[in-house]
Amino acid sequence: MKNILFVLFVVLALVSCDSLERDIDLNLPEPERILTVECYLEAGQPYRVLLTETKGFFEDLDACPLIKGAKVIIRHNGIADTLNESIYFSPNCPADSLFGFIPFFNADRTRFYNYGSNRNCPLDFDNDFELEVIDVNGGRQAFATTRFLRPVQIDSMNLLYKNGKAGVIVSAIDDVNTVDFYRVMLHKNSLTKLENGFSIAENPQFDITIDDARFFNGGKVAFGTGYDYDPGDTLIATFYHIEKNYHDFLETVSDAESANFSPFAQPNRILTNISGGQGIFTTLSYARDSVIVD
Amino acid sequence: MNFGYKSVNVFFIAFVFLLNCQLAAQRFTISGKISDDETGEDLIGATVSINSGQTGTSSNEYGFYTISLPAGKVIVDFSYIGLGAKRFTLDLNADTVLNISLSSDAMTEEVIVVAGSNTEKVNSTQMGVEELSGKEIKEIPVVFGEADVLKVLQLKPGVKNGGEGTAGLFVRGGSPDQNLFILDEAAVYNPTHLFGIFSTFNADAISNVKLYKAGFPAEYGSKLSSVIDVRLREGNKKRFGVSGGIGLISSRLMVEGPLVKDKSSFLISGRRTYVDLITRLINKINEDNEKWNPIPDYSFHDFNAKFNIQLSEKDRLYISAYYGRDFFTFKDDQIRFNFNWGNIASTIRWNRALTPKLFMNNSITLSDYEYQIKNKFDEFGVELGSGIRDVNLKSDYSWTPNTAHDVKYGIHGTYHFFSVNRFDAGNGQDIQFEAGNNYHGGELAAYAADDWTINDRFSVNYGLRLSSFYNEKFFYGIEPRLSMKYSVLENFSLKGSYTRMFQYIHLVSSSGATLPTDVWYPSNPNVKPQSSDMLSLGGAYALGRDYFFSVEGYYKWLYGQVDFRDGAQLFVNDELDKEFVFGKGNTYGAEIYLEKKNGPIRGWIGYTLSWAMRQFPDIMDGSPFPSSSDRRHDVSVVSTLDLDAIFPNARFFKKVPITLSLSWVYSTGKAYSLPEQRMLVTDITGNNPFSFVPLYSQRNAFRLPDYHRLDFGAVIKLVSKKRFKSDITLSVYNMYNRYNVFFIYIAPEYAPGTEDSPLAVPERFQAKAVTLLPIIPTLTWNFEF
Repeated sequence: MKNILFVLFVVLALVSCDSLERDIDLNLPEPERILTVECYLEAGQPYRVLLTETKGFFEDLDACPLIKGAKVIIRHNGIADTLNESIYFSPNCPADSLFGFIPFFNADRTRFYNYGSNRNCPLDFDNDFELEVIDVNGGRQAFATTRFLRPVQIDSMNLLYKNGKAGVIVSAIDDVNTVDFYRVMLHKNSLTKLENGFSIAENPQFDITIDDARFFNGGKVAFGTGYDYDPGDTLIATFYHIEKNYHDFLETVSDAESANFSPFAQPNRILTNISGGQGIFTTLSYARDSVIVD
Repeated sequence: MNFGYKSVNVFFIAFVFLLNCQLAAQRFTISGKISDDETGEDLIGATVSINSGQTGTSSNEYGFYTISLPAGKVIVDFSYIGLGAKRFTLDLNADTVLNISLSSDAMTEEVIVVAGSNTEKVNSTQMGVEELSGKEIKEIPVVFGEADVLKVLQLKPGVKNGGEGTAGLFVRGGSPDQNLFILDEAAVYNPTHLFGIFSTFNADAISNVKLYKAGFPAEYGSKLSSVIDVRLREGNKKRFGVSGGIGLISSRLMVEGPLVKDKSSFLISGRRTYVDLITRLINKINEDNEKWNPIPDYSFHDFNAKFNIQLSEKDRLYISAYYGRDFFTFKDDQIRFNFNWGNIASTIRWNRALTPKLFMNNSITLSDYEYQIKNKFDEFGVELGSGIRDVNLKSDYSWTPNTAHDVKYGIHGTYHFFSVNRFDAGNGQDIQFEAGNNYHGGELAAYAADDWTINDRFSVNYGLRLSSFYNEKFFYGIEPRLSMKYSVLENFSLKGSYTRMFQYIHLVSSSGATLPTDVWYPSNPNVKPQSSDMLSLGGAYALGRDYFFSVEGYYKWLYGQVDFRDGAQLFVNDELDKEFVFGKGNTYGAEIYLEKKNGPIRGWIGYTLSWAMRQFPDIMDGSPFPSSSDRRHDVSVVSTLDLDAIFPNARFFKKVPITLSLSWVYSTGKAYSLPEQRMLVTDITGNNPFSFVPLYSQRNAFRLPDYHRLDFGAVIKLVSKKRFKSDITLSVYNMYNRYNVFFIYIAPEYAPGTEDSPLAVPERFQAKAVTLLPIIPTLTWNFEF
């Protein structure tokens, strides 16, 4: 009896060491492809739009997500600016050659777009900017509007020290009479870096999106780091004053990403301000400040 | 379905009239207590059968019974599962008190069959009820060898779990917050340990559990879908005893004994996990290893205590308390993370047999659930917590004016205190954030119900519960309760029930399962109460003396259901109810159940065919979608075998009695959401252009693979002397190591060595299935002296 029990336990223990994760095949339905827009208007910078479409999750990665031949128009104060399309050197825009096209870039060349204009975006807090996309080949249309918000100045960047290391507290004054949304980032030393000849955005030390209605804070919005920084480090804080649409888009993108990897997160739709499509059309109003750890 | 005041008046007039119809002939009452001869503990649900089943009753939650009969000669049989029956012949010419103790000494080789236990179920107006004793709970094999009442209830038809290994209950398509868990009358708001893997109810201390799925008695309210009424043991009134067990992850100890012999007793039990002691040791061994990632500490402990004091022949005082806490902690040079959560549930009860026909129970209960997260990161501290605290006063009466009527009435008042998302963060100097709210709510309910035996064939339980709630606004609910039974044959009856329920507090949970961070939230002018209407029809059949067979169909309408808008922020949000969306649901199905409760081979087979749908105008553009508990087919087969009784001539089993148990479950895969598409988002941070975002368009439109599992258990009695008993319990969870999928995710796959590049291009996307609990063998040593 003892021997049988021992053998039984050895067998059970071996079987229980089996992997808890396996690859499986999923048959997802053929999706209806959705026009997707990303456009961040920045005062003094030319208009740029990334126009793509969604793909089935298991579709070939070489299937081009970029929308070609579309008419992309940004209107402001009665002026309609039709954006130019990028030039493609590979007709199928394969993923392994970065879509095979000559993109438009933003100012620090960390973001790429397939539609662009030479007209610089004016700073106008009082009038809307309108986006219209006509997908000529696919027969789809999308619309969106946005408006600049006044930037909120960074109130202070206070350094704190412990055991030769420094931390920083970034704060700004929130208007307690209005509902505001913010995105706050902190970078170390630089906003960008070069990698394989490409300009790449540095990963922020933190990147937080907040809704001031969720906090009682007496009008102050502040974020702090741990004691992670050495003398000589430059800490760059960027305080974006963002629209609710953009806040909701960022939150739901984050939630959807979490839902894919967490059994306890509720899957959700991504909230967008693009009528007839997906994505975001918004403005970037921000204040930036820096401090050097001494 | 709103009933006006006029209807209520008509109802009460009819109620009183129907009672008076039966008060004519000269009748006398037999009443008393039924207890276990060995321990002196009151027996809940013991059967009292008159004249071989002509009529009868059963003991209530305090072992008290009363029955009114015409004058003359009567034969009274008292019986209880696993104990020998007793018969008395009386010439009834006056009210008579019969306090009975039933003993296992009367048992023969075979476990004594309870006369009338099956017919009692057949002849009761109550439907949709499951009842388990502490002994039955311990016989069923469960994960990690921890006997678990909630896991056993999940094996009953109409009850589903929230996912592999979790203890959350979804009853007849309801949500996990729609279950009323009560422990000795005190509400328990989060009945689980270890993120839902174990229940808070220590099986050692449990006397009896009842699960109501339909036909809710009028004394229960405040939740829509089920009542799980857990009663603790009272402790041995005759002698001191110690029992306990040492298992794979926890140990248990229970002490019980008389305070005053045969009159008053106490019971104290506790258990604690010790995985944290092992992980701390492993961390200590590896503290010089720079590559070592310390394992966080996890532990839980809980305690039950109960004092049962007989004040007089007619008066009893009970004091019971539960305290449980889970701890999850992590420390390193910079971070001190502490997450703890737990329940308190305590009750003081006084009950008195006011007259032989009138039984009174008054109680004060305190329930408390809270979680706290404290995170210290250098000088910055963050604290987050939520909780609910109730003080409840109850006065319940049970009046048996005659054989035909069993009347219950009472009044319940509850004060709720809610602490919602209390958030505090800062460095104690120039940075300080606060968020969160406290709410107060009052709930008041009164009820009356009569279980009326109209004639030999037809009986009806009709009642009404009036409930109300106040938090900035006054809400009320009129809750009619109706159950009917028609006996087609002596052992076959048809039943039907209708119940309306109201629920004034809501669980804020984004997970679809029960997690410790879920928040209880009160109704207010923006958040209306939930309500439900439920119709059940069925039949019950007693096959011989051993078998019970039932078929029940149900349809449940759910109103005021709460879900959350896309992008809802459920943590640190001062305006939480702005995140809610409201909708409705409907659930329906049929349950078939065959049970054998007595004898050396016991068990049940259950099958459920069911649908559970929800519909919210703000979710999926108002299209109906399956709830996460929607599983079309559900089968459970549970069997317990006493080998020494099955093989009476086998000398080995005489020497080492063994009880085997097997349970097999099958269910259609859980309804599940999957992203159908991916979207390219670069964001302003210039993300890798190939870091795709998943797009979900439908909720719960997919199914996980079908679920099935076989569990095995064996209780090997090593010593079975009168003063010392000891056994080894072997349990094997998921015997054939079925790969049951807990969740699915889709991940990019990269060529080796490229995935860390900011411009890495995945080769493809691959779906991955994760299982939680493979085959898990466990040994537990139990002792009793």
